[in-house]
Amino acid sequence: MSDKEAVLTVEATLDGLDVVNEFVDELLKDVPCTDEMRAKLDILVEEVFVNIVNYAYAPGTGQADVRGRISQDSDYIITLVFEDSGKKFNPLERKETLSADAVRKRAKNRQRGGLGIFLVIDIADEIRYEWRDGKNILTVKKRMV
Amino acid sequence: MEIKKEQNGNALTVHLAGRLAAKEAKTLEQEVQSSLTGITDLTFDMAGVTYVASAGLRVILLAQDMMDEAGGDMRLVHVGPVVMDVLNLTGFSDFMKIED
Repeated sequence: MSDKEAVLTVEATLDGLDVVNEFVDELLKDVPCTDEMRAKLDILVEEVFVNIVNYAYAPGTGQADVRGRISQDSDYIITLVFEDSGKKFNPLERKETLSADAVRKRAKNRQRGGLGIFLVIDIADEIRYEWRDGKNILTVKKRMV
Repeated sequence: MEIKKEQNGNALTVHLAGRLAAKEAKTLEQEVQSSLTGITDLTFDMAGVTYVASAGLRVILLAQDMMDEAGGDMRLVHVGPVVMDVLNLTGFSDFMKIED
């Protein structure tokens, strides 16, 4: 069976997050994943998308493209590619400062930075950033079953 | 997301249900900013919260800061498995009171 694929163009706003969630719901419709796995993916999607909402076009707004693919094998690997044409921003740049210990220490000191991308790195099985043709392209993969 | 408040003197319980996503976190932040005056005993009942990401965590942290400043006490109760995972992972569970 060929992989299931879909593409979405959406306003990079907090309301747009609902649209992205519906898009992911539709992709995952026939995937037998647990509610817990699904919730983890929701966190991942929220962090990546809200990052675009908050930083890519600020203080203005713009659009984001989301391409999704589900492998039709027993692992049901979901691949989500988020693209925006906003300011160049590599969320993985400070990856080395995002060890679990460092994040916990910062949380204890009530410093809020880096929490979101830390969750993304923890939840995703694979994550890749590219800057190509004036676009931020973030690809995340996660096994759903 | 549903936000229900139950106040008894200086004690406030905030019952949350549904997705505590970025947009809902904004609504909750306004609630927190406007409801905590005079409160020294704050409980977030997380029974109906299916997931929380960093936007929601920041509001919980804001409430904790406000309670610390007021010399008050704050706790999270009925935390589900996904939310618990996130609290553990981010170290929030190290300094927040989490009860059954």
